[in-house]
Amino acid sequence: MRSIILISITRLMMPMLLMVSLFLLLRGHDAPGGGFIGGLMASAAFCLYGLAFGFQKIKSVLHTDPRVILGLGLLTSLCSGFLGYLMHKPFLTALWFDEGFFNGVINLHVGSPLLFDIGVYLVVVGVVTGIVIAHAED
Amino acid sequence: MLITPIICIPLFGAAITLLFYKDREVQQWTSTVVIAIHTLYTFLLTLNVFGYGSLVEYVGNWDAPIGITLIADQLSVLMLIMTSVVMLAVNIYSRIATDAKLESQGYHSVVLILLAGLSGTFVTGDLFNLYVWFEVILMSSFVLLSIKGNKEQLEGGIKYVTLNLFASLLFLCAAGLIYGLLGTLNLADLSLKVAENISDPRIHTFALMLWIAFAIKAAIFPFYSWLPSSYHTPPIAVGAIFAGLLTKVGIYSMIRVFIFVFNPLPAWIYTLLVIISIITMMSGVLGAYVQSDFRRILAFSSVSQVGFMMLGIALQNEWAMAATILFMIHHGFVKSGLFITSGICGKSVGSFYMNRLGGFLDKSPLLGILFLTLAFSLIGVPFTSGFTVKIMLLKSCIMNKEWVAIFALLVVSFMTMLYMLKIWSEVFWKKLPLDEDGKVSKSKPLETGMFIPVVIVLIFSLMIGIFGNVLSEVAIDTAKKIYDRDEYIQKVLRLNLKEGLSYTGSEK
Repeated sequence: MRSIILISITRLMMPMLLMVSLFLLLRGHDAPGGGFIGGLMASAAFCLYGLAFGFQKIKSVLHTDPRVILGLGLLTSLCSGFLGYLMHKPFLTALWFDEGFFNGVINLHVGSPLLFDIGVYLVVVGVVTGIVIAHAED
Repeated sequence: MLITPIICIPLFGAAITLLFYKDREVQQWTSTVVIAIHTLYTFLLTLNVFGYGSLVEYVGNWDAPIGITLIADQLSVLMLIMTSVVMLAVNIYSRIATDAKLESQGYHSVVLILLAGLSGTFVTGDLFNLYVWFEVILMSSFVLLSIKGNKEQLEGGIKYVTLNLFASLLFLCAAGLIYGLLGTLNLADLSLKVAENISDPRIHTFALMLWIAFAIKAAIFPFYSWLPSSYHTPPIAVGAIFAGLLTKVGIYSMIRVFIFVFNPLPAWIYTLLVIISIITMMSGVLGAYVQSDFRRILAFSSVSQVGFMMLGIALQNEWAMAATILFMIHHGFVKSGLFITSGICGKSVGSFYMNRLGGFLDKSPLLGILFLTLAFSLIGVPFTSGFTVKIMLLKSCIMNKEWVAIFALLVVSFMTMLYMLKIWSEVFWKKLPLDEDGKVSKSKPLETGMFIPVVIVLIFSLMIGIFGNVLSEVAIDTAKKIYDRDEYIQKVLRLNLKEGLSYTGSEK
């Protein structure tokens, strides 16, 4: 059953929800927000899309299988941990651009915790959409 | 040497298997290679720890009582060796035995995440982090339990998850209360602060809450109902992982928390624990004797063996502690080997019920010998690993003058022999029974490749038996270090407890 109201609303809401989720992702670490909550928001957007257009369409919006997103997220988070090793510091040490990482070329309060959060974001999107698609198949 | 790779290697492997979710070949090879690297790294770590003392790592560069500390001491690396060897054996078995459908549902990824969770449990030095790893193990093992999604599996899975979630809840409450009272969750710091207030009844309550949480995980007497109903439903490869490794997590945490942090508690608690462990031993062995399913016998036998390990913790001396440590490793090898053996037999006939099985001694004398050696090891015949650990446990019982425990130990060992004999005569000696039409029932030929994992765990188990003298000394040394605490606390908190001992470490 396709509802024209839901479809129009979804077209309107999807970009907004995804923007807010990115905002939450970038805002994280020092302020409320972060990868987990941002990822939940993004997967809520994809679920809304699924409700409006059918859950199998989510895969085409994601351009890939949720499991791949999950794997990529896990890799990204691990990479942010390994950055610590490269700087001869313990695993997962927070490295910030404005605190001397990369010779201070970029003067921004951005660092490896953001990379970790992006990984968490991808993992959450992958898990939630994966579960939703699998349940819709049954 | 770094500790974090022990967790990161399996996680990395899990990510790779997820990226290639369509390609079965890639998944199989990734998981084999990753587990092999993990095993290799564990052995290197072990050499390092036994050579130069325990290793400490402050994750995220946050210092000890505040951040999460990882510590690899002798107990951790011994457990890690057991974990990775069992995982390697199971992986070799599952390359031959598991079907494509199982693998397409992400079997390899989940097993690798389970391995990461187990490794994390064994190296963490923080109570809350321990809880997090418990959750990782719980979630991945629930997926493995119910991976086929049939009725029987869901029954086992729901029992498992309900009881274990309750355990997690208790664990979390206890961790919160401890943090509220003492303001720290780092095990080394906690053991210093608990030592100052050891007579506080609140501390005893928290310790018992943690004990119940771990007892559920370890399947000890009043809480073991999840184990027999969940071990026989999953695929054999998963069953072998469960039998070999999952209950050990509970016992390991008990050693860490109960012996290392909350020690000494009032004497009545230890008496209670001795009684509970005797009941666990007895009920497991009686349960095993009446079963008619190969895997269920092994599951109940796990319960009774956990009772032995618990007894070692309750007896409160170094010999008993050492016996428990070796017992965990011995049981991990032997029980996963027995589970794989049951899988080989069950796959050939297509049933795990004793009255349908039979004739395996004629079919493959080698399998018979492998099973018999493992069974001897479980019973505790000399020159096997079971003998070493049971002798150590008996000795510590005699040292503590626990005559009832000695009696129970001997009776339970005898009963162990009875149910292993039952398996032996039903599955190996008896001729293959006729089916309903009176014809000889068909059985598939055995694949020799499946024997390799059994041989691997058997070699490790026999090593405990043959080098029992050396290994028992290693275990006693490990136990002494747990009771002694000083080395651990000094390493983690970078303290200078003794005069004249200059600190060399953090400032590089």
